Amino acid sequence: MLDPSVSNQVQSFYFPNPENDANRGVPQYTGQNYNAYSNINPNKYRGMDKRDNPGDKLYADLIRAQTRDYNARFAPVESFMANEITATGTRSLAGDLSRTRGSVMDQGANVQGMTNRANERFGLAGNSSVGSGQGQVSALVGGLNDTKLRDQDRRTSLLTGSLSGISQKARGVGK
Amino acid sequence: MCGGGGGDDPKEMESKLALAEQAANALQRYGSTFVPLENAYIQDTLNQFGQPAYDRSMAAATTQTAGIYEGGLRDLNRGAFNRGFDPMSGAFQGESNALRSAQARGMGLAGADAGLGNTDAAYQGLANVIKMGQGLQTEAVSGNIERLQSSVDRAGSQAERDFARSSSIQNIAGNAVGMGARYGLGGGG
Repeated sequence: MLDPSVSNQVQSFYFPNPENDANRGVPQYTGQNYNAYSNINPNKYRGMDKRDNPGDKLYADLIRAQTRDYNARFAPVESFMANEITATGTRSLAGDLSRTRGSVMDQGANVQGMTNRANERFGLAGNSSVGSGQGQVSALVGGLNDTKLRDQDRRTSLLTGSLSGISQKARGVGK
Repeated sequence: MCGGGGGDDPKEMESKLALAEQAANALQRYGSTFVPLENAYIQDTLNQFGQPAYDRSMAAATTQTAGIYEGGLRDLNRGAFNRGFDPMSGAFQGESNALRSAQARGMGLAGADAGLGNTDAAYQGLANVIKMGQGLQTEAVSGNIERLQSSVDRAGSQAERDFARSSSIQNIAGNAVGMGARYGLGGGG
C-alpha cells in the first residue's frame, strides 16, 4: 500500500486535475475595441496662421495618436510575452507537460480498448496490456523530455530573436 | 543691424501642412479598415492558448496517426489469415501486440507534438503582433494545416520504421524491403 502522500503525487502526475493552473485559459486582450485614429481631424489646423506652424501641430497630433495606439494595443501584448519568460522556460511548460502526459496516457488506453475489441472479435480474451507498461513509460519519458527541451528553446527564442527578441527591441525604442 | 534678425517669425511652408493632412487621412483609413482586422488577429492569436485550439490540433494529429497504423494492421491480419496463421498463436499475438504498442506510442506522441506545435504557433503569432506594433514587417505564420501535417509526417515515418522492423510482417508479405511504401505509409499522405 502506498503512502497516501506518495499516492496523491502519483495520482496528480498521471491524472492531473484539468482545472489547475496548467490550464490557464485564454489571455484576455483589452485593446480590441480601441481605435486611436477615429478622432483625428485632418482639417483641424487648416486656416491657422502659418507662423503658428499648423503642419507641425497636426504631425504632433498624429504622433500622439500612434503612441496611444501602441500603448493600448501592443504594449500589453509585449508585457504578456515578457511575463511568459521564466527562469527555466516559459509559463506554457506546465500546460504542455500536462497535455503531453494526457496524450500518451489517453492514447495508450485508447489503443488498449481497440486491441481488446479486436481480440474479442477473434474469440480471444479482451484483457490486453497493450498501450500500458514499459513501452508507455518510455514514450511518456521521451515525450516529457522533448516537451521540456522545446520549452527551453522557446524561452531562448523569446529572448534572443527568432520569436520577437523583445528585450533588444525594448532597448531600441526611441533610438 | 546685419544678418536679417528680428522681424516676423518665419512662415511654415504650405506643403508641410498638406503632407501632415495626407498622413492624417492615411491613419484614419488605417484606423477604420485595418485596426479592426489587427484586433481580430490579436484575439485569434490569444485564443490559440485556449484548450479548444489544443484539442482540435491534437485530436486531428492522433486520428490521422491512428489511420496510418490501422491500414498496416489490417493488411497484417489479411496476410496472416491468407497463410493460415492462427490468431491465437503466440507469433501472431506477439506481432500484433508489438504493432499495437507502437501505434499507442505513435498516436500519443503525435498528439503531444501537435500540442507543442500549437503553443509554438501561439507565441509566433504574438511575436508578429509585436512586430506589427513596432512597425517591422511580419513574417508568414505557418498555418494549422502545415503544423498538423508536420506532426503526421513524423508519425508516418515512425510507422514505416515500426512496420519495417516487424519481421513477421515481412515474412507474411514475403518482402523485407519497401514495407512502408506497400502499406501506403509514405508521410501520412
